[in-house]
Amino acid sequence: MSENTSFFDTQEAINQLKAGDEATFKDLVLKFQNKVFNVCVGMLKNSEEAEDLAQEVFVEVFRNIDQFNADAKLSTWIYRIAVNKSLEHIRYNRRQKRFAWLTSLFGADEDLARNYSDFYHPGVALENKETAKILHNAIDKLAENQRAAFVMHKMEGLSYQEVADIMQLSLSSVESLMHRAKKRLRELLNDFYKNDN
Amino acid sequence: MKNEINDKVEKTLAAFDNMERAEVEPFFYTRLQGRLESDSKSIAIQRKFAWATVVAILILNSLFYAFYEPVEEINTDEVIVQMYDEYNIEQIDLLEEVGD
Repeated sequence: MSENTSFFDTQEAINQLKAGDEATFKDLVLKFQNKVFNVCVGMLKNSEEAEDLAQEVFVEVFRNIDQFNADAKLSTWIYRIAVNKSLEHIRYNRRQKRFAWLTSLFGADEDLARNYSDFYHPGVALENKETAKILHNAIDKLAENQRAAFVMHKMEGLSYQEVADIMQLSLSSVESLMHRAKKRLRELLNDFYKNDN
Repeated sequence: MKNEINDKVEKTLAAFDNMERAEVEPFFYTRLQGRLESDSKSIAIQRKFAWATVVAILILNSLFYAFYEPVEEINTDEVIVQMYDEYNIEQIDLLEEVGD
């Protein structure tokens, strides 16, 4: 799924974006909207929240393009914002869940204790939907960095090197992260199917 | 039994293979433009509010200094003397009394 995004990795595109060129920004959004959304939806398991977050990513790109350091690729920078925002949102949701029992005492909205276990990823083939749901629920139990690496590699199709650039880690660290993520997923799925039988 | 579970695990791990990328709803850019505009407006309002607050504080400060009247200094020696006179208190020299 990793595609050539060469124009947006040129200095010319960056200069145009820094100058506030609306047409270039529109092209950038059209080019990256599905990539950003795909990462967000993979991390959050909620299409509405993922779209909201994808918009936030582009708002940040628009506002902070002046701070973009040309040492990295623009695509890497955008993915990094998407991953960081997704992780922030997951932490926020966890905090909300933790205090949901307290807020429910005061009659607060039940929406705070959202449960995403019934999420179906729109890109998964129909015959894989049930197994994908089980895998998604297991991914939820991974450590943050393992989860981010797994989603980017497996769902967005980025190479280990691309994941390493986005997460600002070495290639061997990403390999190790992925190894541990798969090992942990095997354990979790084993437990799930043992209890299921 | 164990092999069956292993097969299920491997099949589940492969559930994301060949999956398609999720796509945003149509008119994503239009919605994004709307958000950028409303964000710009709210930032502009926040800035105006911040400036208005600063100006109000400066005006209040300058009004305070303009109408500030310092309290007259009280000469404590004079007050003591007045009290002595008012209550007919005579100064007592303790050392003198001890000497006596």
